[in-house]
Amino acid sequence: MQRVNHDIVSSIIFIFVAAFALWETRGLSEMSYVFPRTAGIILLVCSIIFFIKSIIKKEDKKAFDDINKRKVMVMSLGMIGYLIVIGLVGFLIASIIYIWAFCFYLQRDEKEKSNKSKMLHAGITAFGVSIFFFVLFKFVFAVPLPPGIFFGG
Amino acid sequence: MLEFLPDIISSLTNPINLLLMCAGVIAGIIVGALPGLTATMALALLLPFTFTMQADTSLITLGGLYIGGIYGGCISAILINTPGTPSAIATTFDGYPMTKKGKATQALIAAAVSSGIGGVIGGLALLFLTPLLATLALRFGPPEYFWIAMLGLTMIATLSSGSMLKGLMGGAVGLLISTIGISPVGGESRYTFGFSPLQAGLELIVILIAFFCIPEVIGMIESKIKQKKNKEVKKERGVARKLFFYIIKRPILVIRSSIIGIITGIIPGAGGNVAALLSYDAAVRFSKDKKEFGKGKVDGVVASEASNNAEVGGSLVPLLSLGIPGAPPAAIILGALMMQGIRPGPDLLEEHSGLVYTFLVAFIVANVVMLIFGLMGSRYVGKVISLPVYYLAPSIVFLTIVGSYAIRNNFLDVALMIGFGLLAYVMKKVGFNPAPIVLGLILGPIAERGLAQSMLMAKASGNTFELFFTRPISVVLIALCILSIVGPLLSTIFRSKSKIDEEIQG
Amino acid sequence: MKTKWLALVFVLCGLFVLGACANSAGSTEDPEDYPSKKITYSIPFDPGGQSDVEARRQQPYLEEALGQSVVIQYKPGGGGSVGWTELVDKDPDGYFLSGMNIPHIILQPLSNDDTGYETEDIVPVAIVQATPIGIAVSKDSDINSLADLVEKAKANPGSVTAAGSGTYSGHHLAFLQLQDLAGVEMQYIPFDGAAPSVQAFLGGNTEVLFANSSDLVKYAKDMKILAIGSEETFKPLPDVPTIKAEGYDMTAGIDRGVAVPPGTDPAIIAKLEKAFLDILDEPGVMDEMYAEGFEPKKMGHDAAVEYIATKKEQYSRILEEVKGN
Repeated sequence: MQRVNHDIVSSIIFIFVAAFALWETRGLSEMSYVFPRTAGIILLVCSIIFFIKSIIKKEDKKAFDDINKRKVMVMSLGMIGYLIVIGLVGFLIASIIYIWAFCFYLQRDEKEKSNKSKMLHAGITAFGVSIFFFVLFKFVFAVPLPPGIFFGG
Repeated sequence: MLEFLPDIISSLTNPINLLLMCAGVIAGIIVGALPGLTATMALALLLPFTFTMQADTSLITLGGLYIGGIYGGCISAILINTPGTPSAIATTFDGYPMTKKGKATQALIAAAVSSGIGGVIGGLALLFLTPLLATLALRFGPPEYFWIAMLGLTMIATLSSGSMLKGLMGGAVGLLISTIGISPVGGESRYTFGFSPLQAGLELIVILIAFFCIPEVIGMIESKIKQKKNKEVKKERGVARKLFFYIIKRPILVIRSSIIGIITGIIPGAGGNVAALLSYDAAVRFSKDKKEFGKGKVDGVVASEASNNAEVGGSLVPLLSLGIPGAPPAAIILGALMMQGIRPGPDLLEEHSGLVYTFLVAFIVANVVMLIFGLMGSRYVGKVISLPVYYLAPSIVFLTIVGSYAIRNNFLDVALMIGFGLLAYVMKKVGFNPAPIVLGLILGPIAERGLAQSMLMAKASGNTFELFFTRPISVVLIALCILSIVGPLLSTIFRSKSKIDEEIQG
Repeated sequence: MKTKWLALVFVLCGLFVLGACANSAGSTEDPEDYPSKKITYSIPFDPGGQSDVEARRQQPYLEEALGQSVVIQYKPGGGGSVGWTELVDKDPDGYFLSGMNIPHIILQPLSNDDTGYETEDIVPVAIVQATPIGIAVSKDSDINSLADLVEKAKANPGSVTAAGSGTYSGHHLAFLQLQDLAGVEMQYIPFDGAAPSVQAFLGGNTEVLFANSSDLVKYAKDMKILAIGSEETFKPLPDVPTIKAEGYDMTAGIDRGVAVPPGTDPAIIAKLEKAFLDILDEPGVMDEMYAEGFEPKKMGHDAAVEYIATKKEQYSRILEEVKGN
């Protein structure tokens, strides 16, 4: 199977990013565009060189081979989910849910532990970490924490 | 100065002052170690409480907090690759690899020792060289800012492990994202897409967490094979003593780093992050085994920590001599002085010499206190990292969320942190190191302001060349830039040549 | 596995309902009872700045007058625009106040279309202090008066440089206004904040400095202050003439006050107005302000609304002229 070369793909993405950044500087005054335009041109030139280089010298890199794709996906989606839940129910509850769920999920390879004790340990961590830092930030440092739509904090 | 000795001694032997100094240092270390809580924020929180204190007590407490806060940043940098304060950014380069090798305790001790020494050197400079350094600070105008940013950017060569081209691209991306928001000189909104919260630009700490921490957290859990017991922290006896002598035997490294820190400190607008980056770069360039850097070399940690703590002293120079804060935390100390009814300005040293000298001596003492606490703490803090990944990873994600929200009380920052973090993970996988991107982001605003302001100055004077290329400090900086670009090239040419010679002879 | 996910979803739904209930209860309050809980005072700038110092000065008096704790919170970014954007979206219940700076709140919406608020959305409670903007030159400059400066600028159009803080800011507008009234052309160089511009000026990078009165008082020995933008002679600098007295009909300054979200009950505004304005009568407060180089100002809600409207009209005219050219 022909693999997609990551270098080619990333160089094309960067060419687009640079072109877009340059396009966006239109209509600005000289003092506002001089710097982003310079940086954009550098990026464009480097990306084009990189593109040519990666076409000439095709290296078959397997960037994502040695990883557990599923775990990485779950972890990434988990962070996004965490974010959404914070927006809904506020920081403290979201954090307890998130840490609990992920401490449990990440223990799946621990064969010698029973599900019940995994659940328990994850729960202790979740409550311990969340509440400790919540109190520390909110009451000691008086730093506000993200509130949700439905709950204050 | 000697005539104030009785004042100084009576103030420093006052148990309340000493107690509050220690409390300040400890609180600073804790705040500094938590990403998102900065020394600036901690100082601001403490400010109202200092209102009722004596002037000297207030300054001593705030000074201790400031010192502790800058040092504390290295703890999270070493343990979880997340600079607790931006100043600790260069500490991640070698500190985190040391942790991965199971040498977290060594890295922490090295950081504590070099921070202490750097801080004391910075304090001594503050005590004896303030008037001299103040004149130097005034010599930095827009062109000099531009060149110092350029000098920093030549570091891309040092930082882009692997492909130089990818490093340059990363740097350019960093510069571009630094321009998001209202243009500093032109005053127009850029790249906000009509979205008003973006007018303020991206917050450095948020991006630091995204680019350094999130990829590492995902990296912790990504492997297919079951995690073996996580990197046990090796126990060794007498590590502290060994490292102390290791550092003492490298006076040039420590002194050079401290000087870079002090000079960067006195320039308002360039903070501890720039100091640490420049000094790390210098350490790599002057080292015989360059290849070892970035893989867990103690010297990297020493260079970064000595300089960012020396920077603290430096940043107080313009404050005490000119009334201009050299860094955001110094701005709060200025606020504290104003609340005490003391107007910092050119006359501060003359009008309040007793207080200023007491503060300066206390500042040096506080650095020693920090060193002691740092050493004591290193033994225990390092153990955190030997917790199993399944507890550690979600807890770190939790902390990154708190940190990125707390910095500006802005939920958008949390979303940006996660978004950029996932992007950074993918980019790292395809060979784009986060360091050059962050470098571009840190130096972008300094370079842009320097460039645009210089252009306006040149427009008025009608002589661009003179402005950019003939001012004395600019000339020095340009020479350093050229050296740092050409140097590595020359050495490769030289090396390959000597190889050829060997071949001919052989 | 599936059942666990289901359970999670179920718990989440439960939380939703619970949250919705918690939120709907007790949202209306009789303004007579105000304030009945802690008040958040947001500073749209970094901690330690002048706005912060002012808020910290007010805090204990406010807590005493209102009988509730006042929590200071920072929302820096975009020269204040991030904080003000947050303010206009908050509930108008009087429990969220924000520091307010004029001309910032007028100029930001005028200069950038994507600013997240309109000047009219920011409801002033009171204006408590002013910082007149002054014009200074270096101590060993050959310029001795505003007239000298204008003459020099006329002789060498575009070559006299002036440092100030920010673009489309109070300093910039004062510069433009003077340029317009005197019919000269100079080069304005914006720095990101008052301190960096003072530093650049002291370092000899620019010939002229536009600075806040507080900085002028601080550096009075190191520079020649040509004129100041206050209405009458500025008390801490009695020897400095006003720009008006020098023949240019303009005032320049930054006013600091406090604001609430649009739609706030007039009774609540009145309560807050009284609390803030009473602070100025506390013993020592005015003297402290003068010593720091500020001018105490006592302007209530109605006067402030009118003041902002006049200023807005004036600034739009100047900006139109600049952008038209």
